[in-house]
Amino acid sequence: MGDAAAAKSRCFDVSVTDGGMRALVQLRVDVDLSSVEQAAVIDALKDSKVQVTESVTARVDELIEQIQSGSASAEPFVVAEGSEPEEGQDARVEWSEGLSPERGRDEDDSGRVNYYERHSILTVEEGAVLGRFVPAVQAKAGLDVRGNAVSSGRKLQDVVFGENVQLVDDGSQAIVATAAGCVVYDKFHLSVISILEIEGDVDFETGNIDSAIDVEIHGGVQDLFTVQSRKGIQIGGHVGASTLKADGDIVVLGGIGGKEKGTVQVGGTLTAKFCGEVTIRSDGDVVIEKETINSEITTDGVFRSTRGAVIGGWVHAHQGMEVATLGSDAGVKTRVSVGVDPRLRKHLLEIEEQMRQRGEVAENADAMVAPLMAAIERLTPEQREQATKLIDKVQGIHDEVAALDQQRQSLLDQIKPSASAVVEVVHELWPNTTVIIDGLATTFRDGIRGHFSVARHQMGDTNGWELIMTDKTSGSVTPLTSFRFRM
Amino acid sequence: MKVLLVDDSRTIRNIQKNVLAQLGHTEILEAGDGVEALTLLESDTPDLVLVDWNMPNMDGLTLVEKIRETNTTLPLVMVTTEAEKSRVLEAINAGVNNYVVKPFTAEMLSGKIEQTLAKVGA
Repeated sequence: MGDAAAAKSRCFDVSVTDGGMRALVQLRVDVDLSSVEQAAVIDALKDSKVQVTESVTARVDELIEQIQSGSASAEPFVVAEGSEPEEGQDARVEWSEGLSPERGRDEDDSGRVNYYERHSILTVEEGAVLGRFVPAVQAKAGLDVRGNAVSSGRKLQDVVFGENVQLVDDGSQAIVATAAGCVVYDKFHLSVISILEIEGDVDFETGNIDSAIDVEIHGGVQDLFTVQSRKGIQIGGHVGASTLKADGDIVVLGGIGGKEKGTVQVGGTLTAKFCGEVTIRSDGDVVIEKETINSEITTDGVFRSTRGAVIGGWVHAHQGMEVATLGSDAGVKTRVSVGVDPRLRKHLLEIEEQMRQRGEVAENADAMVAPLMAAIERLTPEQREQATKLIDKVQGIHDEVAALDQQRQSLLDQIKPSASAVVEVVHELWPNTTVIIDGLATTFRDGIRGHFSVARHQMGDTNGWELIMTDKTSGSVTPLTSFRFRM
Repeated sequence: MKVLLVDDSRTIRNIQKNVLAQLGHTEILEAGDGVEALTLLESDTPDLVLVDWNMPNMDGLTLVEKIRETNTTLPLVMVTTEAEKSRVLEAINAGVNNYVVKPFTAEMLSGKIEQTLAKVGA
């Protein structure tokens, strides 16, 4: 550059800033700017490697005009700007309704927040559509003033399909669970795990649990919470006044302290260390390691507590029971029954009585309707209207009787004596304990120590039955004073 | 199947609803007289109508005649206390497909409904 050009270049400075995204011309304040020409500015821009496009040239022309008109500012003049890069979008999952793992249920229809249902853990059935896969949107590079490409620098995340999850191959981008389980979506990794594991307690953090798969809870279950599973449940800690329901087995490594509110419903076997003040209904066996205190337990299988005690309450086991101790030295009223559940028998009698009463009403009503129908030709229109209503009422009573009969049949199916219905005591039985076997009962006024069993026995050639006690050590048999148990 | 019940007695309509429910028909429209029925028919199209004869504002026979002015295929069953043969003929001439005399049992009504639907279907 010659002296004259050098002199002109000292009138302004060209700079490229913001990471190459802007080219600026800064006019010097204490010099004569009249000699500044477009060509000099453009040369200076080129020296700075700025791409001189048509729009850049137009901006330079604008600057020169401002200089010549005396309106040029001391502020840097932007002659070129780059284009910012466009951020791409990570791949994502558009969740099916109600299935987002990040969701927490909030208000109910009345507007109240149900804290027991918040943050409930999500389980799905096999074949459930979890949502739709949305692929990543690629980023678009920008351009700086020197014509260099500028990228956003951020690496896009893709969704990884892990265990028991599959992208459907029909172009719909649907994501399907290939097994029942718990949906886990963590750091773009999606899977359905077949066991729902909860590290701590079931409490306000987890909310109630409703699972299609096995549930393993390392902690306990707090009062008033519900854990349900279509399979099994295992709990490492203590269960409070809660509700447990499982189609499979339930194992409680701690105990169950129901506080008269807790309930357990189990399709398989229940195993627990101890239980107190809880209502248990089991289709399978019930095994309690230590005490069963003041609880209502009903099992279609066997009740076993070979090192434990049953104190207070009522334990019924259709197929028999084996316990170490029945009752307590405090004389707490304790009731155990095996074979036919006396409560079912009572319910059956109640239903049969209702059937008898409604049946009589139905008969009387039929007797009233018959003459009406016989004289139908002579009825006035009003009488015909009334007759229609009466016939309908009578039909309603017959329907009631039919419904009661159905209930009765269902109860009869449940009331089946069990040949193995025996109560076996390993160590001790305390006074005020009542043993009931297929409706025949005996109440022990004195305690008995030793290993013995109580069973029902047919008396000689008669059709009568009695309860007998068999000493397991000596083999001796003692008849017991028995009575027909009435609720 | 959608059924329109036209009877000024709610009890009778409930009886008919129970019978229809036993036949598996639970989509029921109800009207207390012929005027209400016609208003309903402006916006809805039932597949069967059970009509009482003696109703306030517009009786069943007039309703049947009005329906038949614009719709000759909608199945109509008169369910009524009118048992005289002449009345039955009057109703048939007006355009009903079947006739049930009160008092009716559930079996009678369901039989007539099934008979009507079979006839119209054929």
